[in-house]
Amino acid sequence: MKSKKISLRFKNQLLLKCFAIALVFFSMSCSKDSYESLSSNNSAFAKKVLADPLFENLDKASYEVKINALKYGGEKIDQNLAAILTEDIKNNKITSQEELVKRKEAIGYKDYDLRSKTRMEYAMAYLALMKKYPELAQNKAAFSEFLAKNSKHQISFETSRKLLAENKNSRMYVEK
Amino acid sequence: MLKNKINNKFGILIMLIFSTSFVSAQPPAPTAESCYAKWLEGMTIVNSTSYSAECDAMIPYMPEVSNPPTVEEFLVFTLWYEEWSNCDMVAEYRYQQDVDLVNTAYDECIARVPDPEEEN
Repeated sequence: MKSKKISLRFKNQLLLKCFAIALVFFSMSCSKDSYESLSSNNSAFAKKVLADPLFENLDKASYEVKINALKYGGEKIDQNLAAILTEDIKNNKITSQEELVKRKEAIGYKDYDLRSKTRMEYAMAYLALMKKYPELAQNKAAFSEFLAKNSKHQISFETSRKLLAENKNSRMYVEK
Repeated sequence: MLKNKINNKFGILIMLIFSTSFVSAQPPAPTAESCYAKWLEGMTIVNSTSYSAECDAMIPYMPEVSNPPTVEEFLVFTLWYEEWSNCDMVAEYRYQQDVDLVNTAYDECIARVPDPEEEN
């Protein structure tokens, strides 16, 4: 009777272990699949993503965000005013978008409203694509590489140099 | 006398060997095309290593707001937005610096391209 109980317990333990191992293998194969399907542009999944207008939206929004980074990156920010604004936001003292923009610009962020809209468009496009293809969110590094390599809105040599030459915070800034 | 001559010749030989090995150790002179190819490669790496992976990770937690948002929705949203935009501003700067580096490397590469007139 006792030996029967032990063998049943042993069987249960063995089954549990087998289940755990199978689960690990299954999750590994899933993440590998999503990576491999993006690593080749010819895979059915990659083709589907590339043909989706949501991908084009994100590609365009990502380009605009990067253009802003080259145009404005490295601004000198008033850290004291920034800390006061953060506190005011936490204490619910900012009640409109206009007020937020005004305060951000006072801190030192140029064209904050415009940049803010570009950034929000990027977030919306990103969220829409990730919601439609949750596989992409599993390996964000692979997706970043995929987006960079398949982007139709690459920053050209001339654009990058022109923007850096105009940005006072760039080492390539050229005084006119 | 003969010993001196041999010593001199040996010295010249050593110098020759060293100078040739020095020349062969030098990387080949770049061309305008190879400098541009390196620029393109650098930009692809900068763009591939993600503009703001850590800020992107915050996007899924964006609070939903109706159109137009209520005051409560706006306040909750602004809290999230403040954190995200601060992250993004840092990412903007980092990206600008990385592209700046790629462009500076291009300028240094172009400066090493031999002048065709001088070569002739």
